Amino acid sequence: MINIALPTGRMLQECIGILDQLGLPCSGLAKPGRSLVITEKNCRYLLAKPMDVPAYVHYGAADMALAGSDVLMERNVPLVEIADTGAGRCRLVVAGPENVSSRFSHPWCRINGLRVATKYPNLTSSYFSCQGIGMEIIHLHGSVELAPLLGISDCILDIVQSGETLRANGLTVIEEVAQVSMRVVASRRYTHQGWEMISSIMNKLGPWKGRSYHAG
Amino acid sequence: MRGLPCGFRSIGGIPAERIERARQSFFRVFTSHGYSVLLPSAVQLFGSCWERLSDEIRNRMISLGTPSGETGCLSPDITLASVSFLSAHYAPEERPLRICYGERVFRSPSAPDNTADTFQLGAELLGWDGEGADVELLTLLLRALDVLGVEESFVVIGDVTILSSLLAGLPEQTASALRNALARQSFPAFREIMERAPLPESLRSPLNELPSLRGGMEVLKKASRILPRGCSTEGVGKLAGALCSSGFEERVLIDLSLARELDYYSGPVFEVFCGKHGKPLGGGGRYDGLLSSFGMMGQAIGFSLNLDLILEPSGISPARSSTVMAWPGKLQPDKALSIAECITEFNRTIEMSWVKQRHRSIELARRRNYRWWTDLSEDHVYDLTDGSRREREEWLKEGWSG
Repeated sequence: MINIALPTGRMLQECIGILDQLGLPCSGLAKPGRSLVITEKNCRYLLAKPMDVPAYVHYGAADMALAGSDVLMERNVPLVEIADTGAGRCRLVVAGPENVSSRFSHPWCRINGLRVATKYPNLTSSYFSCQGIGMEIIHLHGSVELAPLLGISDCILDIVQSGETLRANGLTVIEEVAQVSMRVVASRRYTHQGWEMISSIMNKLGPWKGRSYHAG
Repeated sequence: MRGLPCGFRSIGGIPAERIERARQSFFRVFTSHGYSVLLPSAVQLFGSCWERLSDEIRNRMISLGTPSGETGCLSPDITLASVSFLSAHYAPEERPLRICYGERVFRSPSAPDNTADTFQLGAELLGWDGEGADVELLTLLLRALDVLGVEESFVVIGDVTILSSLLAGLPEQTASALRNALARQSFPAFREIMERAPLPESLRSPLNELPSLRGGMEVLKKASRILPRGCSTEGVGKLAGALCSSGFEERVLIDLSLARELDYYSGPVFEVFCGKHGKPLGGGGRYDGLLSSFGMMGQAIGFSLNLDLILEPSGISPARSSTVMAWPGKLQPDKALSIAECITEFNRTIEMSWVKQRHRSIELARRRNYRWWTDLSEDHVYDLTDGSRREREEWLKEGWSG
């Protein structure tokens, strides 16, 4: 039996597509109802909040997981990153209104002390502190674009896909922090005990994501 | 007033008993094979640790000022303290040196954990050349895991010199990026760097296959086909082979891409896992280079285990170590204590309750989960689970435990 943690919410549909591509049984995931543990043949799926997925693997409740690279960066949990599925591709960016955007093109001292609203406080802190910039971080759990509109923050650090929500709220991308996509991760233990399964996953994910890793 | 800074713990009651019993069990395995217990200082010199530890641990060191004005840190790694002690206190002719320890190490919490102190069990064997030392340490480690009741434990063995040999001819920046990607255990990052880096064709295939060189002993045969001549798997093969011959074949795996978070390893390395946790319980390896940095030549191998992790899935019973609660009854304290002393001679542990009323003493014993209670002025022992009683002398002679 393999235990796989999956993020709930809109990413779950992407995950079902990936699991299907990998040939894993996942028909019951389409309508999970209120169940958080779904067992299909030799797979047990654990449905968790996206931000909690890495912890389930870290603590050994799950052997593997599908998790966004943004979540992995934010939680910074030591897991083995097996493959980039390429699904759910988007960007992690700093965005803000025009007047703030122009301050970023000047020396860094012009942005020192700015307030940045984000769902990713750890990632934001390390991103700016690595550049020697002190920012005040406002940790929100959603609708981050609202914060600059209401004057709570000067800018935001968030994921952006098409950019429509940003534009609708008068924000523009100031700088890109990282590319984001769905990753296959596993616990350190499982990469030893379940290497055959892992190498098969890597091979099924295509030449770039899982090239030439053959078990045995 | 808050008693402790965030991340630090005082441990009492049953968890403390479990830790102490685990330490004693661990020490018994190693001291019976000539290892002596080391009690290292909780504070080490900051500079000495900074020079020898990896970036990951450096960033988590907890510094403090010492009374003599030196910059110190709470001990982030006991191997350093052990080697420092041994190099300062023993002459070369006194080797081999064997020590074991069970102490706290201190590092700033790393997500998702939030404790700054963890208990480490470990052992070091210095100055004994040849593979016998490696086999001895790993055999005792596996035996200790059994004694500690760790279920489904196994070791994964690798060798850091294999990756070093493969990266030897590459530009430092590329070599460092590839090493970091493997240390972070990010296969996509490893492959992406390989795609972009100007690598010689002869290295592409071995590097590409390196993370897949893991599994049972059959991996060594596959490695001999893939790895270039300079990459010897002989050390790993001998060590894993010896452990398999010792009856541990089900508990030994090989991973030739294994990289430990500590920089000071210079040969075979290993990590220890159990069935319950996704992350390693600990690990270790050969650190001859670290030894030479302390002015000692020769071979050294050691390991450490996270005792907090071990105790979570452990079979070590959380039951009270005191097996009976005793009430003095009509006896004077000196007479009661003398009878209690006699009881302990039968390998029973005893806790006195000095309350005046008999029923209060029984209530206390129940609250503390004692099964057995006795009135020392009588000759009986009561089983609190069913209210039955038996002769104390008979009870003491029984082979009962627990």
